[in-house]
Amino acid sequence: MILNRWPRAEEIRLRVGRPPGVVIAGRELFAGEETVARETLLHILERATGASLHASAPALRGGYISYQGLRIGVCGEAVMTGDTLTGLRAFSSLSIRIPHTELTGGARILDTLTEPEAGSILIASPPGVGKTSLLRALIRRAASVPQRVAVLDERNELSATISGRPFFDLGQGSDVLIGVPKSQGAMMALRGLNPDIIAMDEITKPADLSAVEEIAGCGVTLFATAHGRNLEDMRKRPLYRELLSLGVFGQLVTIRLRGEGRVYERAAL
Amino acid sequence: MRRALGFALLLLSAALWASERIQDRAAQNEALRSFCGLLGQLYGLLETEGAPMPELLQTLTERADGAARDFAAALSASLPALGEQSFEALYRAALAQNPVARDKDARRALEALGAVLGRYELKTQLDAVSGCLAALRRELDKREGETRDAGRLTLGLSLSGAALLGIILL
Repeated sequence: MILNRWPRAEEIRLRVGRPPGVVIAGRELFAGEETVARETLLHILERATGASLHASAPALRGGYISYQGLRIGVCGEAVMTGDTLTGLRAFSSLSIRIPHTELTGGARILDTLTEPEAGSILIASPPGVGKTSLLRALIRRAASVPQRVAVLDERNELSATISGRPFFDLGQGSDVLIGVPKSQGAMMALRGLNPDIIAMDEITKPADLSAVEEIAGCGVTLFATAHGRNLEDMRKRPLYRELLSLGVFGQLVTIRLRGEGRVYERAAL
Repeated sequence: MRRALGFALLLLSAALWASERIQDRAAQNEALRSFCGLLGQLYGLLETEGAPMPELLQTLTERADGAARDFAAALSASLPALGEQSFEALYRAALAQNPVARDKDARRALEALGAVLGRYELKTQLDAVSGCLAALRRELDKREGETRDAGRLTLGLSLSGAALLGIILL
């Protein structure tokens, strides 16, 4: 219903006892007076986890559940076992991020990024602006040339694979490793898949840097994403400073919101 | 001679009726026992493997027996409808077809479990399974005691009733 009314919705926010919110171009609108019931949250989580919330605990600890390409962030009370977070209960809100396969104003950047001399590409933006959508489109374009693209889909968000079939089209030449940490996935892909390109979403921890080094050391092109507004912003953070110092990436693409659209900027590194 | 035959037939039919009632109670107890076994296995599988519900039900269908296996198989077969219907509705439908549901207390305990299973974090689910298991064991103990006493009573009453009827009629 919400998507019929707001087809360009980027997120749906459901908070118990409050009206649903819809995020469009980074701004939240409230959809009517009717408030969200706790039962609605439980129903959505039941559907998203296949009535197996217990099996989704590791994903929940990571911040969200992936379901058919949707990213569902969950708020509630922590369940602790000693000092370890083992789950959440008494759910109070959900943030459902809706993926868009169409890139708003991104067709031109795709043409330039898939030129053979483009090399390894790092895509950066703040959360929710479109890194994953651009990476997905980039993979699809490259894998349709065709080049062999190994996708390290640690959280099953890039492909949203269900029973071995990707929900999102990632092109004919793509192979997807789901749920494998990037550092291990990189080795598996390099040894077993003979890729031209390896793609990974969200470099967030030091272990991911070793995956980047392994891939670059084998002469394979890398497509990756990171959180950051621009190059300066990224250089302020130790992890990304180290990432950039590896000299692996030839191009940095930053994305920012403008009105209801996106601005894609490309810079050589 | 005919009177004796008629008398014997009356006693036989009363004994058969009583035996059927006793067997029915025993089958009901057996169904409850199988559900106790299923819940014990479910607790272990949830605690150690934490596998998703379709895998859990598949394993339970292979490992459980009797009425509990039929329940696990029916619920597992209905899972493709998840989304159109809630897990609780599918669970209740599978339970309603099962002989264990003829025991109202057992049914109530199992329905309460269906409202929690798969919906909440692990500890809440484990607590619900162990609570349901305890309720079913209590019910089974009660029924087994009743079955022994009620079996003798049913047989005695039905035979003496048949004998009395025979004396009056014949």
